[in-house]
Amino acid sequence: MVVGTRLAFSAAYYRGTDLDYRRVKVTGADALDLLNRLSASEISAEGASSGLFLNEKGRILALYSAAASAAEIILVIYAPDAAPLLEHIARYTIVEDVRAEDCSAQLRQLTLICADGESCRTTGFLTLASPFGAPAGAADGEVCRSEVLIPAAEFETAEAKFAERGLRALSAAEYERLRVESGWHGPRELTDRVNPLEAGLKRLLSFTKGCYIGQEVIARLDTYDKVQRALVRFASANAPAVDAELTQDGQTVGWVTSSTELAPGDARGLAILKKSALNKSSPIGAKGGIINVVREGHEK
Amino acid sequence: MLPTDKLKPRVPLNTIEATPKAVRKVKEFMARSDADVKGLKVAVKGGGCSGLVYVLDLASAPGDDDKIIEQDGLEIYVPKKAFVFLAGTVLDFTDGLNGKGFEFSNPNAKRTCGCGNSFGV
Repeated sequence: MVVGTRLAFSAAYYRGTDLDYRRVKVTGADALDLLNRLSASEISAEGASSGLFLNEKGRILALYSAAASAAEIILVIYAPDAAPLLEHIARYTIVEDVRAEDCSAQLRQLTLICADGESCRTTGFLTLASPFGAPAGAADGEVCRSEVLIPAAEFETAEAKFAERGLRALSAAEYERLRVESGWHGPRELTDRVNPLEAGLKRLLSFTKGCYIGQEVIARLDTYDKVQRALVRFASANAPAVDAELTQDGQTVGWVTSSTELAPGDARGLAILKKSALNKSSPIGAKGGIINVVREGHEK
Repeated sequence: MLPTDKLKPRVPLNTIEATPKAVRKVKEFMARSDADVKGLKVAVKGGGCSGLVYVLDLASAPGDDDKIIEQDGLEIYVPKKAFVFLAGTVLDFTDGLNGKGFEFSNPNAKRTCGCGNSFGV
């Protein structure tokens, strides 16, 4: 099996940089309790879990993969979310015994992507099922993806072992192409301009855990079906610029979040788009051309 | 019609206040408690829909960093870090079918959630 139409491999790893992901360590007697009060889903006391931190408006502050032990909780997050998340935790640490710090220099990260499932499981290191690779709004399951956390001192050796096992090393450009083509969200998709329902991340929200920051907004949007926009994939002849405005019938209907050129005349991208635009037949344009939204099976 | 802020209870910002009904109810809980409780801890912690939630607890002694407020024979302990969010707050108690139990009227709260347990500043 091949992952990605242009990249032929059955298993690969991506050595993400500090521009991609960061690791945050949260310690203290009240760490888990505080994080669970802030998170939109339950963080497991032992082991791995995934979820979201939202702001008061129900918009995305950080998507995380968490590994909790008795001593600490490690949160793997998109790099641009690190500073806002640390500030968020500090802001809501009032009387609690909680310390949070960026531990990215001490704990490195490799992303494993594979079609066989097996390569993502047997790593010898703390390995988290990744919430970062899910297709935008579509069901999971096509490929397996894990985040492997490796102490900095062992990182080079570990990386060499993955290469020896036949896993292909993806460059940043290759990974970005694969990501956009596959419709995987990245930090530019999940910002405080969108809420998790728009981003197709409802599966990471708990509707039973009780109050968390942003919960009332999310409950209202979901209950009254008020989600107005969606994260979508598109194809186009040229790759429109990131943040380019999308228009339809002269109206602004969204913006481009990611784009990449697979081949001359064949570009793919991700965008946040008004749902109402999807129901019209008129073309959706970005500066320099028309985009064709890839229809997902889950769309209403 | 009076502006709504004219109807809000006015409490000096260097303290918090409990209404006589709230004091009476806390004392009832203290009398029923098996533990050796001396006062009421009023605090704030992160969480809830709006970012901060009120914490009420019976306490056997004030914490090292607590501000101690005495009212009608009831000692109220407020951690100093929480006090900045609670200055000028009135703690009330309403019972009956439509009552909500202990209620906070907090002049620092810019927004509150539907259930009233959570607020933002």
